[in-house]
Amino acid sequence: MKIGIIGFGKMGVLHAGILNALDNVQISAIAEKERIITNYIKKIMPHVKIYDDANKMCSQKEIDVVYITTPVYSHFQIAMSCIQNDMNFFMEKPLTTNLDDTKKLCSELTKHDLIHSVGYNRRFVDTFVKAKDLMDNKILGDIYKVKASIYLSSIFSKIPSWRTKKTESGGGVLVDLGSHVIDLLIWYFGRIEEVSGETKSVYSGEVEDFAHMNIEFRNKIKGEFDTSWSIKGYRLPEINVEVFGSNGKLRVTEDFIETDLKNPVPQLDNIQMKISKQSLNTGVPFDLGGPEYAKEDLYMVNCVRNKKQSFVNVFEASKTQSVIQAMYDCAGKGSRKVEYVDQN
Amino acid sequence: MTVQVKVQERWNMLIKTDSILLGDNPFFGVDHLSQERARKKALISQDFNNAINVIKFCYDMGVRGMVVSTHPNLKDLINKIQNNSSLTNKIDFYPILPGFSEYFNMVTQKGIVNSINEILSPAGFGNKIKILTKSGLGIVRKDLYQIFKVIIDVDLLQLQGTKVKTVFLHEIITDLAISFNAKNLLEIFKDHLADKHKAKAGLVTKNFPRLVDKLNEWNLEIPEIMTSFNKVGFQMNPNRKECENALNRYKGSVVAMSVLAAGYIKPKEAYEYILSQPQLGKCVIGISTIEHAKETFSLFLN
Repeated sequence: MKIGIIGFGKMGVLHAGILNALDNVQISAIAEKERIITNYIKKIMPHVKIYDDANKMCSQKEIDVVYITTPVYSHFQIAMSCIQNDMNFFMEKPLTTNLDDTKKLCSELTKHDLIHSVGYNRRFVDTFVKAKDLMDNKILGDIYKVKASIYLSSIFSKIPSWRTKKTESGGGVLVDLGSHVIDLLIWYFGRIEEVSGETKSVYSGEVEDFAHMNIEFRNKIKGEFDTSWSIKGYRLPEINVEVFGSNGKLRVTEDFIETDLKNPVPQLDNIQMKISKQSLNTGVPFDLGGPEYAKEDLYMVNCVRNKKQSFVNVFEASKTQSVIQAMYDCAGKGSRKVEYVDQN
Repeated sequence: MTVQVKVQERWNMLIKTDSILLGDNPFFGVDHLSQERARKKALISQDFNNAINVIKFCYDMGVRGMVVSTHPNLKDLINKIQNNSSLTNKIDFYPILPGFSEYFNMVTQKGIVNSINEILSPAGFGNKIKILTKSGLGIVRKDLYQIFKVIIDVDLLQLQGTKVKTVFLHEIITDLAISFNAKNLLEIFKDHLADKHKAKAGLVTKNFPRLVDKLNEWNLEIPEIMTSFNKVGFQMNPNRKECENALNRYKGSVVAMSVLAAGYIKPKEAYEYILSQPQLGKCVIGISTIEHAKETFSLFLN
């Protein structure tokens, strides 16, 4: 399988490193404008075709799938180019800088039969996968409440980056880190119906460094969600999801699942359990940056090979984009219904 | 001979050959079992007094080497060790570089090219680079290999005046080199360390079998590889069996890390597995407190 990478920054290098190491997969083209990077690529991978223009790469029929790993502000235009050239694609999260662009992508996609996937890779973290399995098997009984957060110690002064320019990033911590958790919550509990809450910028000026939201799911589960990239003590991004049901409580992080149940369930040996990531570990063909990236890339490659649509496709990811848009619209102004691209 | 006697003999042999190395992660609040536990540890370990007590205890038990990541506060820890009269110049250091989380955060926020510019600016490493290189920033800026060498030199400044045995390349760079077939990058690393720092080159990897096969294919001799080895196969890719098999194909010395699978396996069980693998040349042990040290070493005392 031949893969093209658009944008050879941190995420482009990481995906390319994993993909190139998989059996029968080869990075055959890279679109990147920075000379210092393309000169190095030419030295170590002379067989790789270098493009200045991403659109040109999207029309190359010998490429099986394109990875879009550029900053968010260029996602829409490149993804549109892929769709119009009937090119399968993977794009990093979040989808676009605004919901209108997401709607246009979804509308165009309905006219083309393509495999597409979005980089919400927490769906491939062992603990989050196991937690979904346990909840789908009703170990908590009827779920009525969820509290979720994601924190990172990253921004404590204004940084000169596209990430802190609203028109280029689409927002701050909510869309950057927060979108991972919103995607997980939608995966776990279905569509979010209504949101209310606040955002606050302390360091980043145009975009928020803190966000706190109340959410209500279509199935009436109530929730709270909190995020910041400006809190001390979080060397790595850290997700915490606590779920409360009629049969007790489940807590899941990247590192472990904890349960405290009222009545025993066949899926667990005890009502109070701690399941660590080590016990769920299975190994991956090639680990670079964490096993979830390898699992995500292997999954995408298999989707393209087997012509099977990804479960983290653009339509699925558009739900998160819709929720984030509603969150920005409602911040400090009361509650807001979420307007989905597809209301069904 | 019982299993316990065999394990003790092997431990004694590793101690005698300076092959038990102390890891520095617990002293910087890094904990791969749980980030939550790491945060709690970081709060109690900021002044390094606990670290010095642990290092002294381990030294008295025969440990002579320490694996260190080029963390922003590493220089403070090194100074504490060197200023302690019972430890001055008695510890051999095995650094892992580049200090990846520092560069990783910079690249996340600013992109690769802006990060390179910042590293090479006077406010970044610019002034240090002037001391280190005769070629000047103009030439460095145009060549990623030159930038790579400068980052090695700058990171090693933190260890100036100490005994550095082997310098290990961070797993992300090693594993990218495997995937992109970048033999040249590893050769430059090895040669630069030998020529400029008179140190041996080692590699850290999360893909041990792949690395061994690549080194054999490239006919490139790297004397030491640091990689995860533990009874549950945690961070052993693609799986424990293939990693064990690859030990027979590697001519150098393997430094086992994550031997407790980040605290998941009980020490007795963990070390019984590690010490029963005769091809493992060195072993990194992670110890956070004196109590933890006593518990670990008691496993190997008669």
